[in-house]
Amino acid sequence: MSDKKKERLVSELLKGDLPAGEEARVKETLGKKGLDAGRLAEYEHLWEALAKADVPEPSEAMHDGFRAMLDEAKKTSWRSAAEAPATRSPVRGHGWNRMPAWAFGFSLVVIGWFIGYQLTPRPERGEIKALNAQMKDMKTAILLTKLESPSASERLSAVHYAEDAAAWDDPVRDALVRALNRDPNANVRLAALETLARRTDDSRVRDALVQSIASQDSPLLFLALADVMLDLKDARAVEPFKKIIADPALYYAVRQKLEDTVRRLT
Amino acid sequence: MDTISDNELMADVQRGDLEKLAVLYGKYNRPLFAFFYKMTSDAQASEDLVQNVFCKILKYRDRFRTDDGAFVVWLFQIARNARIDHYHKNKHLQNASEIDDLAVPGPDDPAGDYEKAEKAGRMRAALDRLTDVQREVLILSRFDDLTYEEIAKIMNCRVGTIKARVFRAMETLRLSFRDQENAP
Repeated sequence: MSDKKKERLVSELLKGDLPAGEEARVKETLGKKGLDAGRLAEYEHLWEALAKADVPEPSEAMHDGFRAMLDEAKKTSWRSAAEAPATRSPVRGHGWNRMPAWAFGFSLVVIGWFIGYQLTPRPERGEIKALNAQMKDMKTAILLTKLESPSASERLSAVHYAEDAAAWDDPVRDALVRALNRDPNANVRLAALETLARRTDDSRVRDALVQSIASQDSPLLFLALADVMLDLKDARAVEPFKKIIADPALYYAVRQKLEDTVRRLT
Repeated sequence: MDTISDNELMADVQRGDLEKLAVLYGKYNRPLFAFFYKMTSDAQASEDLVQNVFCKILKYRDRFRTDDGAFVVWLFQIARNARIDHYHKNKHLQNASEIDDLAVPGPDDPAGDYEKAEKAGRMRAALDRLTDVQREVLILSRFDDLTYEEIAKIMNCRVGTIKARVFRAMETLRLSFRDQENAP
């Protein structure tokens, strides 16, 4: 019996891959070839011990992080181009039909707000403004703290929290840009990019996105940034993308995508 | 493991029913976490890696082909690549996290717990003496749901190579345990 055959038989024996009734015969054959029963028993004991090795339970934060990611994915930005018409068209199709009711509802809200504003005494209005400001500061503080957490799941949920318009301000924007450029976890960087990509009406966000191309090393981020730059039609992205394309170790599919992006931007 | 069911769920995800990914997550988050934890001994990194894997599944869901094999093979291929990326990015942290989370019983623990913890420690020490590839092949082999053929696909090599690696890893493990028993 060759060593290879012996190795194969032991591996199959441990995994339970041998046909029924073969086990005893194989053990006998292995014994004759110098692999005694004691040694086989040691293998079997260790094999069992491997399966019983203690593993802690994953934390709730991991499950929460997955749920946050999935909820984010259900929003439009993570849908593939192929899915978009099927999922979006019904909304568009009914939009015009619902227009009168929609416009009426909106008008009521505007009128209600105007009357409420006029009737509210000035000191109370001031208090409400102060409360709103405090609430906004608190949201910003929570978000910034979570973005500094050692847990990637926490940082991911902070990025999703930043989508809340009430939490959006300059420190939040800067923190998201930092996350995009420096976070060690690619998921967090991706989530930061997707949140920032919804704020490209701000020229500082557009500048930060272009500058971040050079900071990235993940193919996922290259692809996502290419899509964002195509949406923005920002030709400043051409040079940093060309530098990435020059890397001979770049994945073929990523190279193709970036070359196409450069062609469409120039 | 119900391969057809997994592949069907993934096909639904591809068609845009993303909630089906939650079903796959429910089924595989624990085995994936166990795989990463046994490879890294780092619970936090393992959680991040599990999340990373499902993020990639979502991102690249259109690349899964049901005729290429079982979903679980594709899942562990992604997991393997994610861990390799993680290793390269955090080389400097590897040694620091090796003894993280090893069970250390308190003074009130019964003797059985000491023995259990000692065995766990010895197993960890023995696993650490294996090469990365040997450790990986043993951990994958101990998932009942994965056959050697599937592990060969995950590790991109022949079935014969996997069986040889399992045997050599077991022999290294056995000798390592003997060394520990004979140590003063």
